[in-house]
Amino acid sequence: MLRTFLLVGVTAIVMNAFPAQAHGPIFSPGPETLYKDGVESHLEYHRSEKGDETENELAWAIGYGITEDWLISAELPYVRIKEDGNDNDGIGNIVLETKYRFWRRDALGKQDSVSGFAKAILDTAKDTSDPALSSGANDLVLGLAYGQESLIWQRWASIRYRFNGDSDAGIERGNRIFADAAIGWRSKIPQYYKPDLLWMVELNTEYTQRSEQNNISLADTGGTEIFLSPGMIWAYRNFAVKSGVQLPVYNNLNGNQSASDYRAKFALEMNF
Amino acid sequence: MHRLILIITLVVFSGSAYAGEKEHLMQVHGAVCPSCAYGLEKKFMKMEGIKGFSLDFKAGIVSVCTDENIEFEEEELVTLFKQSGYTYKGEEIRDTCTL
Repeated sequence: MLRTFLLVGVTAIVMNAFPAQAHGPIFSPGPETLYKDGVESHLEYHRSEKGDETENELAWAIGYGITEDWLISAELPYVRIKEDGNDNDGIGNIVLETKYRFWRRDALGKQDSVSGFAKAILDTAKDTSDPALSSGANDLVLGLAYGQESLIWQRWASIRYRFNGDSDAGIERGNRIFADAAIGWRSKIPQYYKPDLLWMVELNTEYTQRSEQNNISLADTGGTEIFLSPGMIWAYRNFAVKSGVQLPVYNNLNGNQSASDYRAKFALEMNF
Repeated sequence: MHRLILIITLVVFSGSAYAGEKEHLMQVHGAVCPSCAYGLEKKFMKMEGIKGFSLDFKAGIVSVCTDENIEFEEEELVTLFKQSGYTYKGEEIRDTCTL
């Protein structure tokens, strides 16, 4: 039971990886949306290691700009989990997301904006164990993201709350809070027909409440992890490559739990 | 013979003058990265009579080369920039295209 629960935890962590979006942070949401009638497609690879558990995920996502301020997107992941010599793979949980930018202030070479977003993580992964690919629940994420972008410096901050559904095993999975801050920098003012390279570093904080079963708190659940996450975006007009790694710098996990070793992401993105 | 060569050369290298092009210079606010501005290029290049697009981020100037007979309504530009996620601030027109 404990092992199953831990594996569910690993899956949940990886599913938290936010789809990369044009010129936003890599591991956290930004306020960016897409131009009206624009289509964004990206392919992402995630890898995470935590104790003796390794997870690889390849996800394809597509987004559509209903208006310049309203984006909808869907993500289809394929997941492979390896733990204690056992591995399992298959379609992961499909993610549906909507984002609305409700405030924007434009100036010469500068843009400030705030968006609100909602993300549904559907229980579409196959129900098998050893190791499990899904928690067997639908989860909901709500959040806010702020961004201040200029020609050289970029700043982002976001907060998210994840309502975790109850698992098939009757466990009330603890909800999660994410708080993120990121800074981006490019060495020179971009030129439209030349490649653009942006470096960034993020601070990602994740707090998870204890889970419960039959109103009893489970000892080896919940806690806090903080990551320092360097990354980069290379872009040429409508094509972008994004990559980064999350390195744990602090953890305070309850009971006996393995802390994250690292998480990495590589994404290719194209707008049409 | 020399006169003929001169005439041919003038005709060949004065293509843009014969085509009758002009350049629309539009002030944009909020443009901060090439990949974000792609929507703007896409929307302009879909329009009839558009020959070229560029964006100077530092000056905040969108340059669009068009056929000589192309005119943009201010309302049309406000909407186009808005739907691309930016703010339109005004337009100047040059008789020749430099793109």
